Amino acid sequence: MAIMQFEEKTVDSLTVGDFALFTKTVSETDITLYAGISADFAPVHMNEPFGQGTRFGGRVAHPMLTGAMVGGAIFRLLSPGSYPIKREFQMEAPVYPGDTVTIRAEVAALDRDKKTVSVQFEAYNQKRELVLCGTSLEGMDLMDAEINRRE
Amino acid sequence: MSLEGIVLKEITDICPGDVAWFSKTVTEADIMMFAQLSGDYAPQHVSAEFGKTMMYGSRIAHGMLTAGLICPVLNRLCGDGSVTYSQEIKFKSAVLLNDTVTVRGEVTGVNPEENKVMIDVVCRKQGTGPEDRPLILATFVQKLEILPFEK
Repeated sequence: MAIMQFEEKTVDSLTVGDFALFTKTVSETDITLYAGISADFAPVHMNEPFGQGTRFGGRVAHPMLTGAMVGGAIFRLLSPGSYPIKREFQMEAPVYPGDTVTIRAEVAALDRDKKTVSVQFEAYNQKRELVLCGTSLEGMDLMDAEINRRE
Repeated sequence: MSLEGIVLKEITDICPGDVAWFSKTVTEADIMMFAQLSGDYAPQHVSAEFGKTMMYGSRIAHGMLTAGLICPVLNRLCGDGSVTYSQEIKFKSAVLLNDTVTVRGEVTGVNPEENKVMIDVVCRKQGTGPEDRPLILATFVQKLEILPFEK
């Protein structure tokens, strides 16, 4: 068995207020690949004339793609050793192809007995407009034998 | 513009009890593309060696990848003129490499004043039934509001 080179993060190594940032330009490629992964080919994401006819005035990225990028920030904040238990979020504004999205994920609360972390996250575009916000409850005992997701 | 192939639903077309399904096998291509899109390179997703050390004996898919498979179901229930307003996703169990995920969405409520549709979602893997632990339990609120143009 190979020796793992990972230094696992734990609830005890975290402090409320710890945060991580993840920034990425959402490209046409991202939208196309995400449509392939999720099978979400809704015209508001894939069809430019349709997008122009909507109140967005153009094609927009999948909200769940921005939601996926939250994982990029939480990965930087908590991994390795974390996994999501519950995630809630709300879209505040559309993300257009070419927009640069920055996710900020911050430790809002720690439960040292249950080994869980509450993470608050926000996503902003390059104009510093809020595009998405929400909370995630993360388990920190990925490598423990009993990984069954708890509520 | 042409609306050929586009399914537009009015709020009166959607009823509590409406059900839609979607099913997909989650492959390595999905997981690696999702890691690139989201920036989440946590070892439980991208390292086969790390996967062997977990109780599953395998790499697992990103939770938000599985959650993304809900979108085709939302599109089928609400048509192409809807966007997600808010969502709550509970991750109950892990998706292993090459698992087949089946998503079932059911309309639980319709709010004609606000053009909102409430949907309960359950995701299961192959070989599991209602008595087994699901992969994901989620609630979504979809809004029918993106279409100012003439139909």
